[in-house]
Amino acid sequence: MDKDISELNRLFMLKIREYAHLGEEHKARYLLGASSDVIHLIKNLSISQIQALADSNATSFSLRIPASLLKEFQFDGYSEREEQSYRTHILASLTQQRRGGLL
Amino acid sequence: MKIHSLEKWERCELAAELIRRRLRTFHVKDLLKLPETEIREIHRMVHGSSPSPGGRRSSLYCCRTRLDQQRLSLLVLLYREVGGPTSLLKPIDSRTLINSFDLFQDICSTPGLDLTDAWLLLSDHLKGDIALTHCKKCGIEYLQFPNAEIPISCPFCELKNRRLSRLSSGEIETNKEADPDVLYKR
Repeated sequence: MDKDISELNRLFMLKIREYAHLGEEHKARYLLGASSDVIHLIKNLSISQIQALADSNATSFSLRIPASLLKEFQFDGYSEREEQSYRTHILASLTQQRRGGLL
Repeated sequence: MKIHSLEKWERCELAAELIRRRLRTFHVKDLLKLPETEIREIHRMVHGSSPSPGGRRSSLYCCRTRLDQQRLSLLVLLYREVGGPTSLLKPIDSRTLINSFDLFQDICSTPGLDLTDAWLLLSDHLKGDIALTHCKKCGIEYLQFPNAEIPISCPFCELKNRRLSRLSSGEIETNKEADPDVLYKR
């Protein structure tokens, strides 16, 4: 069992749980990519249940940044405005994923 | 100000949250149907002064560049993300407006953009003055401002093309440390 994977899973689910308890489900949906059903289920889990789930053998989430945009990350020397447009592009692409956007 | 019901108290609290984020008082009145005198009183409680006079402006005022168009598109997309798939077809919801604006500020701090700008944008979209269009090339939806001086094409594609053309002209260098091939060979 890779301890890093367990820790990543645990932090991911704890963050969803935290947003849910703060009444900020929209942040869990958009920032973490969790569905409403998952948020509702994780909200009611105990810490020990989350730990048990986190100890599965694979990460419970995946990288959502489209490969076409991730490629650009290797380029150095963007101006401040280019950095802003690049980041905004990534943030907008995340709103399209549940809608079947092409990315 | 007399508050006789929980529902009225909730509307006053919401008005305070909207005014704290600089939504103009006449828009607060449109949204929450509270008497103007009460809204002005809430304004004085929040900001310590009466609301300043000023006319209604257009959302065109905040869209002058392609980068503005890109950010404003993100703001509208976040409103729908927070409010649900049909939220852009319904009258503006105060709580969704606050949550999406706060989220926008958290992740994409844009100096000079306030809640009034967000309200105007959503209101113009609802009236059909600006349209959310799906780009067939990149798959992202963006706002078209037919009366603005910027072209109506996709700002995400346009700005990406500009970045990549600077790269191909050699003005931008590859960051060797982040190059996946370099990392793989280590």
